[in-house]
Amino acid sequence: MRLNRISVFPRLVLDAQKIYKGGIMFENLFEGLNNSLEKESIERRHFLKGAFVGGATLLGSPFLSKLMAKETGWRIVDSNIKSRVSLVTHKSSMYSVRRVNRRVMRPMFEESLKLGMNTSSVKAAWDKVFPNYKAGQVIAFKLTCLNPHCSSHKELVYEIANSLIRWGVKPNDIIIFERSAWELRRQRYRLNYRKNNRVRCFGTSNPGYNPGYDKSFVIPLREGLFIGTPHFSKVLSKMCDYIINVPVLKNHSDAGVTLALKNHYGSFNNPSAFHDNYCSPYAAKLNAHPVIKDKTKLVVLDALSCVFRGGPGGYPGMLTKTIGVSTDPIAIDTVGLLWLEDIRRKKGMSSIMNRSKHIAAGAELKLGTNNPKNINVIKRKI
Amino acid sequence: MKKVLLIFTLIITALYMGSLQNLSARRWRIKTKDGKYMRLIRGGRFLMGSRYGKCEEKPRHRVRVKSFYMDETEVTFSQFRKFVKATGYTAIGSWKSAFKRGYKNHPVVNVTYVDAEAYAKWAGKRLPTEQEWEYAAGGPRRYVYDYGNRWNRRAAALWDSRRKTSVRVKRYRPNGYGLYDMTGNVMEWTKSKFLPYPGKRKKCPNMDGSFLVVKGGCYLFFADRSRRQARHAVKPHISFSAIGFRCAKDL
Repeated sequence: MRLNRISVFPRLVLDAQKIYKGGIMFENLFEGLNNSLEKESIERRHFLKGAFVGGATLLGSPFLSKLMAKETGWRIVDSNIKSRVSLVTHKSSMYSVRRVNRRVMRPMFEESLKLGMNTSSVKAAWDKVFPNYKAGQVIAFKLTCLNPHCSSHKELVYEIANSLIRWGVKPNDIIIFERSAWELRRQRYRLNYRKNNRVRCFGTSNPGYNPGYDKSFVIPLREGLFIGTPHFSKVLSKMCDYIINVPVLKNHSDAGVTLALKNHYGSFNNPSAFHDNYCSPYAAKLNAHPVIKDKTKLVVLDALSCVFRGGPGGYPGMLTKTIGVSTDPIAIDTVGLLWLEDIRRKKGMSSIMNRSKHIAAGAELKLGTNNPKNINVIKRKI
Repeated sequence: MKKVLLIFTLIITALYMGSLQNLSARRWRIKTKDGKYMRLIRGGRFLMGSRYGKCEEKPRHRVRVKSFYMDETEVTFSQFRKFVKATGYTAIGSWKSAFKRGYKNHPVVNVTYVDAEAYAKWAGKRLPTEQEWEYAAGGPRRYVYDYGNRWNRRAAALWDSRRKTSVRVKRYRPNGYGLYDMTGNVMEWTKSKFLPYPGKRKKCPNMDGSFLVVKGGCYLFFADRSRRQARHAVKPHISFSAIGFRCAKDL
């Protein structure tokens, strides 16, 4: 039906050629990233739709953007923000869904960090990420451990911590945290909440040590409606000075994707009450709160494996073997969304772009840019 | 003295029997103008609030409620549409945006308190008070949930039961009074202001009198926030995709 509509109007037929070219660009963006994705014949309808999406976004034509928005429900917000996203792939980084090659994690991450920060050394990259860092300040890693099959991989997380320690942060000034201790323990993180010479690791709610939620203020996600009053985790609001967000590449039955923005749904209580309207604009408003916005300095996308079907609790359907780094949560969410869309399209699955409204809402709040034209994606294979 | 006591006892008994007879003469289930069935809820005293719950639920206190009728189910989209068609009412809430295909028997949502009041007035009813709602929600045995004091994820549409949207009314079993979806599905407007309970010393947030109480659990809540004692504060002009309503009626 949609194809017919395209072919009816001569102007659109003309544009369809551009779209086709754009489609090739779109394909190229993720070429080589979908390692285990077998070569399969792409359904014509899906290919054209995807090409249409990619073409419209990458060519940056306002007319096509409008048309694309109509087709997929995805909205591009114009802004002057220029962002950089690095995606580094290593073919032997994952042996299987559960087995990670820890030896390559640090080179992969540091390469990605250097590319993402556009520096030649790791030290310079960290200097750029934390320009005002003083000894004694605490850096917290927000993980996602909701899905037992696809959580932030501990091998990667500890290597990020090691990289920070090499840069000069004391191990005890690093906090690895999630909603609850049992989720961390399930993913085999070593819990430590003591003041010693080790990285601290605990949940907002722990059986023995319970930082809890900061009830001194309410996060203003909804006005005039106090149901499931949201409060930040004390780890975020009181215990840390900086945040490194470590989401994983997953689709989400409500929000389309659950990446950097949606990852902070584990940073406050009563997240379930904010899942209506595809989590929009709550995920964006949450990230626009100073507690998160001012403290978040880096987003590390753990795309070693990805859940493109049945998310957020589904089984990883693919080993994508990639680590992404950016300082812009919206840009990395956009790249992740386009990537998942691409995978799903090739698998003949429905589009998730119409549901990912929270990313555009975040772009409207100036958290970053969701315009692919303004996102410089740097890919590297090592 | 004995005679006086005997006469007094007889008078009291007669009055009590009379009131019972009067009540039993009432029909236990009636059909109203909007095509909905209402159940008779016999009045009585009960303990309202919670001893261990959130700030706004404390303290637990004794409340007397008169007999009243209450809708068996929440007002559905089709019933609300019937009202809008009949009266030409322009709703403040964007209920139409929530009305999807196959949702005609789902509870109407995205309606403000004013919209709910207008519907109730048209149907010859009113919105329940917070006390009435909580009294009716526990059933005759004053349970915490529709079906008992222990959470059962197969018995109501809540986040725990992996419901991501509302469900059609009467999807789950009713409580002891024959009322459906008091624990789950969508929250419900009451006409009571969000104020502290009598005897409350500590101040809780949002108790300036500008909010109304919304009761019940919904598909976005875990079981903890779906207890009959849980209170939610919502401004009257707000509409939300998990707030609907049901009506009550005096005898």
